Amino acid sequence: MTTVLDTLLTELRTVRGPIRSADLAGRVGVSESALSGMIDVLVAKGRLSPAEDPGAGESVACSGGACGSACVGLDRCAFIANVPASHTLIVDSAVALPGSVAQ
Amino acid sequence: MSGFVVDYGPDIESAIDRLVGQIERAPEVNARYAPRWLATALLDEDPGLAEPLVSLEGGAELIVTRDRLLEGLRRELGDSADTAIAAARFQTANTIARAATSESTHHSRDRTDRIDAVLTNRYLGIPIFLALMWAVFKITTDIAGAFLDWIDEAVSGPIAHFGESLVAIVGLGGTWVESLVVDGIIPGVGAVLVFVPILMALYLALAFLEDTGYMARAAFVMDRVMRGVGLQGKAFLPMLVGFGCTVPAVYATRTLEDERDRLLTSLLVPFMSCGARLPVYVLISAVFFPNYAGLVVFGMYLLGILVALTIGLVLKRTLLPVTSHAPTIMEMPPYRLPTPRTIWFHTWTRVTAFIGGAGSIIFGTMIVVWFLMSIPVGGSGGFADTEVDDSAFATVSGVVAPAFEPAGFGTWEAAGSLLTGFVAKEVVVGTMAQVYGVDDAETSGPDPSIGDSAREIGTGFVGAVVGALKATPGIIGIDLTDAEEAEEPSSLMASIRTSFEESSGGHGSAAALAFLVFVLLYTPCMAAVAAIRQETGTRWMWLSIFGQTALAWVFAVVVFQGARVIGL
Repeated sequence: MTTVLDTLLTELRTVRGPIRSADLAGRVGVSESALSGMIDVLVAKGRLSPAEDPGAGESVACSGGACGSACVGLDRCAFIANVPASHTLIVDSAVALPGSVAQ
Repeated sequence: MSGFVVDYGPDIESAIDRLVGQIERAPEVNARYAPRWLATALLDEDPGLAEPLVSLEGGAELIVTRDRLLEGLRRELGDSADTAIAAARFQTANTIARAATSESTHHSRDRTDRIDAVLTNRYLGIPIFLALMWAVFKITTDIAGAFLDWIDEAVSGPIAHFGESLVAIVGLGGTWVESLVVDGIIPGVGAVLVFVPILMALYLALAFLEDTGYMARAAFVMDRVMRGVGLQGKAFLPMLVGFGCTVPAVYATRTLEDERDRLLTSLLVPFMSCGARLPVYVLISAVFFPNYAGLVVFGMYLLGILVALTIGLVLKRTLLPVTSHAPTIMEMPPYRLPTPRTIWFHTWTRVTAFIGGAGSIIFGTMIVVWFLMSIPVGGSGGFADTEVDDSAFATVSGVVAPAFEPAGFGTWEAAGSLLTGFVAKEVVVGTMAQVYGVDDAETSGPDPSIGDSAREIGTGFVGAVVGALKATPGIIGIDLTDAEEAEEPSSLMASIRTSFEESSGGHGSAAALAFLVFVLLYTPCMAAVAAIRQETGTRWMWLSIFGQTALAWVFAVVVFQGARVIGL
């Protein structure tokens, strides 16, 4: 049985570069919120790697306004780029998920 | 949902049956939990179950059985059971969703998706990103430029008068202290403060883009570009940070797991044009390219990106060969309509951060530059009473100046400004204000009263607002400015123009362009050098310093000679 998580990983492996979660959800045939839950499971299982701080989730890329100055709290950042939460496929995760069969 | 059961597949179902049988034989456990639910939760390794279960009769035995079954499942499935359980649940939920909805296979595209289809399009994404950045710099230079003259006049007029009067009141008029304040600190610091409206406009425009959610899309678009030069997607993060300041950008490379990626990104980040270079671009553009200032500034940012990408490609094929990079999922935030209050809050806090952070560096460097300019070397006059051409600063800068002759700006003034730029880019403009021998302060004649000064500042502000309003339609190509209203250049600008024209044999604009390219590409500042050393080691730090400076020199020479050939 090929599960939806297998489909997700299979689709992701065919991607060259980044893919929007909305596009991946469309390819897998699930809603974006369902995809989010699946991503959490795959992260917990070591199949996906979340971006680490300061680029993870709600965090931002930021720097101070003057040479040599880093941020002193987000409110003081001179330059902020809201960075999308991202998850990278761990290369070794080519193995099929349990409960599925190779196609 | 009575009677609904998820099918977990034969291996797990068999394990569930074994556990259900054991649960039904343990009355205490059976009375407290639904057998199938408990069996599934045990195989799912629910962390909250073990403790309450062992207190019940037969509970500890259940856990022993569970552990034995999990071992067997791991061998059978090639992975842990909880993953298979999660996969089966998602599969069931997906099957139900497909059956219950009419568009289950056609992902409905809401407004965000429709906008994203255009803004992050494979072919349109980068041109749109560049167009928006061009608009940002157009706003920055054209609209905010009107306020530049207002602050310049306020600093060189009423504020300079005030400084001079203050020194006289404390009995230090005519001493070196007056020289320090009037010739050093006020023009030096003032020359940088003049650019606060420019930075404010930049931060305002960026805050708008950030709050709408566009910057996340820009990151997505740039991610593709990063991969093109053999960097993983996450490398875009330090690059973006580099547009603010190189130092935290270098430290941000720590987010990259791969050592090669960390190293390569650290070497490329300094080519991203940091905010501190902006005043130099704006000043030089205002002198030599007043009608194309926005385009020139935008061109500098773009050139920085292109050079970084090219260097990345070269290093990818030589010193740092690429390793494979895995695909990445990016969750885009929804588009939002930003509120003016939030945008203003972001802008104001960043501007004050710039003034506070940069102020100390500029202030300190201006004093050092003034000190070196006050020491006579070989010429006549004493301390703080010597011609700038005969000062220690001019002598030291003059040693370096010939190296820049092929680039068209081989004067000690330009060389000296670039030398102080090694400390921090903010001080380049301040140094230029000092070394070009400018006495912009209108200090002759009777001192104006406080009321006159306030009136002068107020009138200037109204004029700046009118000028900004007239310049606004220019962003979409409608020119409302009066051609006869051409601004008279300040004495600093006139002095810079004269110097560049002389040093370049009448090709001042070509030399100015070369100067800007050099400022863009050479070492950002000492703090950045220290950060690169810390992150990559001494060897790569020296490669970065010499490599960048050599590259900047080569580019500057090529730009000058090329521009001269085409008649600039």
